[in-house]
Amino acid sequence: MILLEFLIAFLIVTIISFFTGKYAKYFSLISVFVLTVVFLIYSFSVFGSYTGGIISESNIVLSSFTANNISVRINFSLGLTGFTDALVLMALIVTIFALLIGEKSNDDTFFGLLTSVGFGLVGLFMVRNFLFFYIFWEVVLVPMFFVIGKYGSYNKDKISIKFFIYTHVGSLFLLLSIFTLSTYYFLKTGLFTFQISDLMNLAFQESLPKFALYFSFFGFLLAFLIKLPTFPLHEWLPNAHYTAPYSGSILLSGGLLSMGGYGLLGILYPVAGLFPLALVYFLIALGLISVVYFAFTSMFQKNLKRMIAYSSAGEMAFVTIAFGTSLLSTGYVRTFDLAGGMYQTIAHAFVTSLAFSSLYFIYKRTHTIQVYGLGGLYRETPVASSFFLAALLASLGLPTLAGFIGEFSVTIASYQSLGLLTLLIIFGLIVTAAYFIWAAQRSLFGFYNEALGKLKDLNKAEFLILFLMLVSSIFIGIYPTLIFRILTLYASHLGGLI
Amino acid sequence: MNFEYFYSLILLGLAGFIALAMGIKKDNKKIEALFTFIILIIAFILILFKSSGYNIYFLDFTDFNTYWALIFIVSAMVIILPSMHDIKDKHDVFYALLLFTVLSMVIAAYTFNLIVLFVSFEGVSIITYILSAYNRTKRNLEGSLKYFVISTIGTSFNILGISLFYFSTRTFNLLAVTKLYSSHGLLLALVFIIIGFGFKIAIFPMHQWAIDTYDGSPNSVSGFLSTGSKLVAYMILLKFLYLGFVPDYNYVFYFFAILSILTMTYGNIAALSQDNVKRILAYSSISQAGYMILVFAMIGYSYYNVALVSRTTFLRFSIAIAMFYSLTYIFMKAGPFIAMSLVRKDKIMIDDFTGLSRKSKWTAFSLAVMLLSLAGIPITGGFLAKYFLFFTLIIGNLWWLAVIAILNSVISVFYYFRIILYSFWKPGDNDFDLSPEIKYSVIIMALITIALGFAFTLYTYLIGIAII
Amino acid sequence: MNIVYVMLLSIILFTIGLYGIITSKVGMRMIISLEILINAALLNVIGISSLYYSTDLIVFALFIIAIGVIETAVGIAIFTVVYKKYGKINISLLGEIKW
Repeated sequence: MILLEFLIAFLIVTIISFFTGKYAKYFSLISVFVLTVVFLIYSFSVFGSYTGGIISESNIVLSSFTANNISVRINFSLGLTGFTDALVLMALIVTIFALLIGEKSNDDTFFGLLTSVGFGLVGLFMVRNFLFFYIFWEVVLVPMFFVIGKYGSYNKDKISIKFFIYTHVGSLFLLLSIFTLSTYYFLKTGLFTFQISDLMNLAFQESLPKFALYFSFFGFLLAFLIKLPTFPLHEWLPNAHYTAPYSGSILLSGGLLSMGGYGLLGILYPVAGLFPLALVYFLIALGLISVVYFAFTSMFQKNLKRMIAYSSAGEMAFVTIAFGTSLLSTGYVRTFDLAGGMYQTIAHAFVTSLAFSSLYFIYKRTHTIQVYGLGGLYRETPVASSFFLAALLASLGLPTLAGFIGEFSVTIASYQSLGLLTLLIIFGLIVTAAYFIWAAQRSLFGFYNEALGKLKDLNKAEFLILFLMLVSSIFIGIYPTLIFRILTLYASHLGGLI
Repeated sequence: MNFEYFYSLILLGLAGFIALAMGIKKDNKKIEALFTFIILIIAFILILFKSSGYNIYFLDFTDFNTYWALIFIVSAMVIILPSMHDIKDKHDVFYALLLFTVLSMVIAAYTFNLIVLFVSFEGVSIITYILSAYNRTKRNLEGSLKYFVISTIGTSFNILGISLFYFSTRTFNLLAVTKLYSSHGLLLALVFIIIGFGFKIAIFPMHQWAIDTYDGSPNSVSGFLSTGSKLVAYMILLKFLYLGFVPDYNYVFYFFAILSILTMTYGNIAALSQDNVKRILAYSSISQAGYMILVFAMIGYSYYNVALVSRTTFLRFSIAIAMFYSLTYIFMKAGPFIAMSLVRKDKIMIDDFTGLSRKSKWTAFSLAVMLLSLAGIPITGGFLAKYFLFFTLIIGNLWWLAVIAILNSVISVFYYFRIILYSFWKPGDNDFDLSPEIKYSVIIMALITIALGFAFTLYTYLIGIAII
Repeated sequence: MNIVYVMLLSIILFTIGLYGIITSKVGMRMIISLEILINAALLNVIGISSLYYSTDLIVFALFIIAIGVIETAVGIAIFTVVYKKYGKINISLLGEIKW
């Protein structure tokens, strides 16, 4: 029952944080921090002896009805896997990062909204029932819409609505897929239920008619690939990032994008063995195209924030590739591939939050994030520039930083199934490295743009924030075992399911 | 004769006259409103705590009917507080008329006899003509006049339809329909009845009056028109189509599938280009009617027996969702109409809402909750209603209708979110009328809307009582 | 007597009533047209009742007469208020409510 109590506590914190007036920042920070510590203790105690699969389910029957051979049961059930444990932890830490940045420091609504996004994420990763999965899936969107729309900058009305509609379309098809599965489950067993463990069950889905099966795959994939985002469905992302305040951007890339990764690897994977081969190749192709495409598009961005947005989408493309290639590979390689994809989902959040935060502190001083407007920043603000450089290096996957482990393992593991096509990934990585170094060279080194005037470097508090982010990023870069162990255990469990 | 079943009806009728008498000399609206509210609560309790399963003459006291009676009482209850503020004229007649309307509605809820259904439906109509013109401003009068003319045309269509229905089945009692005497007569009856009651539900070709009347009436009356009086027509059609059209009669499906698609799409598309908020809400109530009459299409569809589940299961689910949708619809639709009283104008444009969140955060939040509920976003009642509606469509193997409904629901997000966007962060400032009656009723409605978002038990209960 | 004739007459009257409502601009003419409409439908009811010798339909017809009267009364009341407000009861005066 600890998860339920945890979730209720988080809900209460979220509600209170709307009422805290000018202490909003401190209240939400401290309480989310306490929650994180509690969760950390919990996961150390529970996941120390983790062996794979789902653990600690609390299953509450909210409502059930049985009469003349229909029975309807609506459960609220919580559970954690190795993957979701790491995701919950990530969501909590990313929420803390977003709150730390918290630009509108005396607006309690802002912090309430950020905390609600965090709450939605944590709930989404914990819940094991599709009704509540969908509720949390959408609950994340609404406060995010407000964050982008209310506190955004350029063209915020249009972009926030576009963001919402784009992701809402995917969600609604997800809904139809859930219904399809639920209906056929009823036909088979006489019970209407939305339990993930019942519906996302290989034995059950094998018995589905082809139309229903592909319809449900279509809905799930649409929703998850929009969130991820993959190449043709990414249109909402760069604009949303561009407009959103920086704390919103952190949650957007750290939280919302990992929802897509969780959907693919955590929800859909147990039945992915039923995917037709063409679909698997299609997904891999989408992933490869995304890596290259996002690398090139971010190369042509003049705005650093958009550049990071595209590159974060490019990093998430590794998840798609991991998803596809692991279906083709076997044995330990599959486990390695899957764990790499999961690790990438988590590491990506740390890396992008470091990038966005350091960019925010640069923006606070220079009031511009155009590559051409900056230049030679290192002369004026060496510390902030170093952090930004570190973030860029982390995104391009430098060893010892967070981004490396995931990209490396996915690339290595996909060689078994892709063969020489892996070169495309390498090519994407090279392009990424090229443009990051180019962007760093343009904005941080070279001649100083004197129009910016005299700039102050980071003060202590700002330094501490960035330092914390960098440390966490390095920590999971050089000591990945902490997370990688449970991910591998869960991945081998998943790999065994197919 | 078991009189305890009639207590609520007698109470409502007597209270109507008392309310009329109370305001003869002085207009003390507080006492009258309180009196009406208490009477409605007592009637609600009397109806709620009464074992069902009794029938006498034309009245059937079953669970199904009781649920509708409760819905109607609630729909009148929610507008009492805001009407204290909206209604500028003497209040005596208003509350008396409201009580009489509720009486008519409750009788309509309890019966399966077409004559009684028709008469009580007319009772609701005629009283609401007066309510919608209550403030006697030019806009009120124009709205009421259009309503009157169109509704009377609808009445005559109803009479034709019901008489042709009798011609084809030789009974007025819907429960006794077993044999078909004239199939063409029944088809004509179906058409006429769809037109007659469709005017009241405001389904697509019969909707234009609704836009003007909802726009012109006092805000709380608009709320009542678009919930209570619409739901009466909806319930009558539900009973009619479920029981009246003997099995293997499947025009119902064609008619309603086409009508609901047209209604949803038209309502949504027309609302996109509107700047007048009350008209946006009116169009949205048309598109909501489109979702609601999907249930009729499902009822017609169930006769084909091609649903994935058995016919009775499918019917159970579709009728349960009609009942659940109606309850949430009251709160999420009447709420925004009531919130229109925040603006001190008759003609409420969308930029009159700028700055609402700065003036009163929680009112803006509550309005947003109800709009999100209309758009079908989770943790609101509207979400749960739409969730189970789409679920029922999928159970029935109606994927194409579900996809159309879902795409419509996506379109609707645009205009609901536009209002949110204006009330939260568009630059600009307006003077809002934050009198407690309006403010608190909006907040309470929003809270109930959220609470309904977790009313799973209610839904499963409704599946149990759905078969009449 | 053949029921078809009665129904035909009722439908013709009904059409006349609808035509009257669509074309008339003056309030009283509208109310008269509405009366024609309701009574056309009433005629249909009575025709069917004479076909089936049914008392149900007679009861229904009585209710319709009562309701028709009430509708007219309320309609006239609304038109009276309109007259007080505008000085005329011509439909073309209205037009306050447009998007």
